[in-house]
Amino acid sequence: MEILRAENLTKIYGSGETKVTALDHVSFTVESGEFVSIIGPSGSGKSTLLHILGGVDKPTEGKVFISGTDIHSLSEDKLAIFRRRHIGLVYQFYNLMPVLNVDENIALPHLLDGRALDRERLDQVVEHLGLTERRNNLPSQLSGGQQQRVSIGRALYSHPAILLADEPTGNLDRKTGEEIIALLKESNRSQKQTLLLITHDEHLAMQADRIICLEDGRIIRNEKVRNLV
Amino acid sequence: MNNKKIIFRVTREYMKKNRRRTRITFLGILVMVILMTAVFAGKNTMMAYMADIISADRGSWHAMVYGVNADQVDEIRSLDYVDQAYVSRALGYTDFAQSGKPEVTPFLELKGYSPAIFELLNIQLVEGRYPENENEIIISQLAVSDGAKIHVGDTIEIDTFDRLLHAFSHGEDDGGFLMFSSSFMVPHGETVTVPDHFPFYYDNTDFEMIHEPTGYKKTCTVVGIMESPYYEIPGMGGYMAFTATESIVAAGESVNLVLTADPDKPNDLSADLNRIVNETLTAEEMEDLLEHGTSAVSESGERIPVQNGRIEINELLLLFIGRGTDGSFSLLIAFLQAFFVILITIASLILIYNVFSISFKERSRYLGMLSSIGATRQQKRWSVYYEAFVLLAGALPLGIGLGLLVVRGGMALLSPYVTKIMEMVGTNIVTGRSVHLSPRLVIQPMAFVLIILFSVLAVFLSAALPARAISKTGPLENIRGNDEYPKKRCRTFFGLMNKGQSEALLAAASIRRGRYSSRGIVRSIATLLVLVLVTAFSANLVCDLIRTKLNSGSVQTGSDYDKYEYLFEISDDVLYEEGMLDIVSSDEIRDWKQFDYYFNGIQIRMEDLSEEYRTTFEQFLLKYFPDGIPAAADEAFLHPSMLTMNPNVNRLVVTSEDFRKIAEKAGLETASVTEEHPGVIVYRPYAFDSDDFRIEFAGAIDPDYIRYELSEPLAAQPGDILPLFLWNYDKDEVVDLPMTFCGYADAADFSDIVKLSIGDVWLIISEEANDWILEKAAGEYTGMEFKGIFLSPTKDDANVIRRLSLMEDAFGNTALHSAKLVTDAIDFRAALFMIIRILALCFTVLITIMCLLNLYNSVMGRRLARHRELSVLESMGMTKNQLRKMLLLENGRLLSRSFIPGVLISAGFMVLLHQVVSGRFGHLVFRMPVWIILLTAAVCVGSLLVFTAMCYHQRTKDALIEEIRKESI
Repeated sequence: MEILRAENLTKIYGSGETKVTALDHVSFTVESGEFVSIIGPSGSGKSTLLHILGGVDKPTEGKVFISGTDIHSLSEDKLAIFRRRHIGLVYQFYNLMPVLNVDENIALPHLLDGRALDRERLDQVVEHLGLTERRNNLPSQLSGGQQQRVSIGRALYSHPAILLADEPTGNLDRKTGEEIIALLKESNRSQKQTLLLITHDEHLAMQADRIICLEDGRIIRNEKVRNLV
Repeated sequence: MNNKKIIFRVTREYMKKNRRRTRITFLGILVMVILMTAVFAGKNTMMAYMADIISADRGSWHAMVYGVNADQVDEIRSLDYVDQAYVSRALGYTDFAQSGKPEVTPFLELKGYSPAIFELLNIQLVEGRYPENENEIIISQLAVSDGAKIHVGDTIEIDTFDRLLHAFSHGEDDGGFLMFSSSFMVPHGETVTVPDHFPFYYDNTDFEMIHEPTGYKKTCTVVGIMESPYYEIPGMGGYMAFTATESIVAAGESVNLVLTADPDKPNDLSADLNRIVNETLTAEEMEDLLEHGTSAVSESGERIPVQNGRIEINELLLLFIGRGTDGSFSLLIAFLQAFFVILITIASLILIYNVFSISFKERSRYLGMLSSIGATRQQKRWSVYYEAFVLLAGALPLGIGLGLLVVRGGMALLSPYVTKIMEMVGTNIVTGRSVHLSPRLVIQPMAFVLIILFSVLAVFLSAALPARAISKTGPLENIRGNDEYPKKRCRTFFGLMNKGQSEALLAAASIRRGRYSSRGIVRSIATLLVLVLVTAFSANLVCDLIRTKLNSGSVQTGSDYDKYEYLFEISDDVLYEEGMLDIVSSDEIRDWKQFDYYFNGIQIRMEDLSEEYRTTFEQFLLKYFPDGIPAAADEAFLHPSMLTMNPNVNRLVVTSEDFRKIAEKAGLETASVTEEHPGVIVYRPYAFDSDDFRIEFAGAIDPDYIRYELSEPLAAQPGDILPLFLWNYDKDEVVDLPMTFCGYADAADFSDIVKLSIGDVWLIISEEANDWILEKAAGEYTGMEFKGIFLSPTKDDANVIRRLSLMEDAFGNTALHSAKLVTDAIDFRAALFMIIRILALCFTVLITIMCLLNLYNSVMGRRLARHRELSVLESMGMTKNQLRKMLLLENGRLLSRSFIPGVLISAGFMVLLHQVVSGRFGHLVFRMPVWIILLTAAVCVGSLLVFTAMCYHQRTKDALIEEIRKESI
């Protein structure tokens, strides 16, 4: 079942001589439960694509459908509500709330939706991420890997339709990076969580079901991993 | 490149990048310099303005010494601080045949002045020139305006005499005396030289005037007509006339000296002059004077006897040039100046400190990077100092310039009130002279030094702490910016999470755990609260101080009388009754109301005054007699041996309707009032102070100002019979006046009728009760009555108005006046209050601007410090409404965090100020400025909400992902 469809996405920054086309008529679909890696050199438009898919940036042209909803046609507030209910975002620099501890950061999107805390779910996520001993720590008291785990926990807590991860291991050492990818894969497999992962690391990308390769804002390859193999 | 130069360059770039914050910090420092300038230059300008007014009115002399010999003149001239000392001679009186009012002023009172004295006394010519020798005189314009036939160029035969007064003895040795004023009494049977300016009297059965020739004879040419000198009062026996005189003093001659002292040299003028004039006294005379007279206390604490009328000090002028003998005024000015400077320094300190603290995170990042490539601690510290002092260097000249403009504007606003006050303080209220001068901007070089010094100090202190903190933080911490958040684990807000209150969770966590960003706002609001509240409280306190210190004898009509057009008032009782009958019976009178009160007459026994009164009065007396109250004073004031020595009370007579209204407002019961015992309400505040209640008793010292306020002056309880009495001197017996004590009323209970002084016990009684007193008194004196009828006619040309306007007493005083003269007059206190309020308002406005800039800076700083976190929240699905709610909840927490310390610190300051002022000037009621508190709280709440809306509205315009990507601003 198709969960995400990008139609003709174009993003242009600036104008005149400074005009830069970050995305150039990009179209693709993602099936529910699929794990897709997006790779490409720096400046190829990977992060721009992910941000547009996550509804935090607007395309100059084109549409994004998630679970059949054209997200960029929504009002600002409706888009915000849609994001917290259906999209999980994991950033390279974690972007945790510095004043909230681990528990609070993880449950925040759920709470923003006006729902009471599901303590059982929180315990389950925290335990799954291996953060039981760090529940009362603020982000500034955690290592990079631990912060990224919290970030993943925050994205997964509300069972979003799609999880978008923007180079989640880019700021981590290899071992920690592998642990993070393992966590994401685990959630993809066990919970049928759709996952879009941006990475530079081809080794990590190869663990996905499909790889989309971008260059100069265009998809130059979009193939199943087994075909590549 | 110099190792500091690179740091300065980076700092300059940082300042350019953060233009808005740099501008606001600059504005804050600028306001601080303006305020400092306003305080120092304002004080200089105001004092100089007041000194100018006094000089223009009374002259610029500092002291006059009467009756000194050649040796004493030399001694006075040799005092190191004496600047100028010129001789004047009282040449006596001479007959003035040309007088226009020979029955009142038949003489010229002639004085010889050294030429420089004309300037020192500010003698202004209306016509002609100053006299240059002993054959030339100038005469007061008062003589001309009184109809004297005298012109410049006329000659006058001068043959002066001293005037002596002989009080006839009535045969028996009665020991009595004739009293002309409190300082001039002539015992029966004695002959005494009259003081200067003594009125003219015809000989009568009580006394005769004797003219004793002085031998001074001249034929003088009138060379000028001068303005009436400040001390010349219509009705004096002689018009003032001046001639020139020699400055050499002959041996054995007695002259007067007019002198000025160098204001820059310390002096003990009054004590030194008294010591010198006392040199001619014998040891016995000195001892007698010490025991029975008043004394001056030198700076070393020595008591020096004061001979009446030998020394005159231009107190007001000395007061305003900072050399006053009344230390409390200089102390008050110094206290206020220090107080404002401290407030400004604290406000600036917090503002600048705040700015550096807010930008700590951003600043620490670039300094961390510099540190990681080798910048030392000292270099990091210099970055902060550099920014602070670069801004100060720009703000100083501009701030001083603007501050001087503020002073100029403020003085223009204040000068009408200052002039009013000076008219009332000076004797010109009697002479009718009025001085209108434009204030000139005065700033002493020392003031410039102090402005710069305090500004540098404030900036240095406020930059020192953040500079130290930044220099101590390591490079990694600097770069990561982890120092912003607590190092300890934080317990989860499960309570809020269980209720799904994400906004409340974020607000609570942000305020509790975000260190620098929220503290800046808390500090800003708390500072605003403290500064405004303390300023308002201080202004109230000073007003209270003035109200209590200048309260004596003041009885003013209340608002009920404002609507009337005329006041009918005449000292002749028969004419008053006649006029009253005309007013009451006339159909041309639309409305009228009588105003009637009595001073003294009725008495109360000491034992009927409260215990509080007696013990407090004893303490009061002990201030005058620190070694113990002598028996005579004890008998006179505390334990009267005769009934007539008991205290007097005043009474205000109101209509029975007004009496009922006052009782109702005060919540008093009047049921127990009977015809035999009419009701009496007592005005509650009763205070005695050293200004109002002067103890001029043998052996009494002159203490600093003291004041005591009583809550209940009477021993009686409401419903009791108050055994008042008066003494019938004809029958030599007591007349009992037992009245029913209804209770106490406060000023607010009858402010529409009258404003009473609180230095006396005031009884408020109805007209019927007053009739009862008059009936009981059976014609005996029941007090000095002041009464008048306020009235409004039906038409302007009413016959009754014409009739009343023609009435006049035996002295030619007319009976009808415009009511506005009484009801609209700005009194001295009101003008002073206005000045204090304008000053307090100006200061509050400037300090509020400074604090609001600070608050805006803090809110903006907080917003900038959390730009990424807000964007992340938005990316996670926080809606605009949720953001608004979170910000509102945060503001609520910030306000409560600010108000608690703000109110506590303000309360601490208020109590301290109250204690200090009460300790120095006597007890004052502690009045909390409730409305100011509420208004300031509203300003704080409103400003925080508006600034939050302004700063966060701006944020929503930026693209979300751009905000997330931003490393810093």
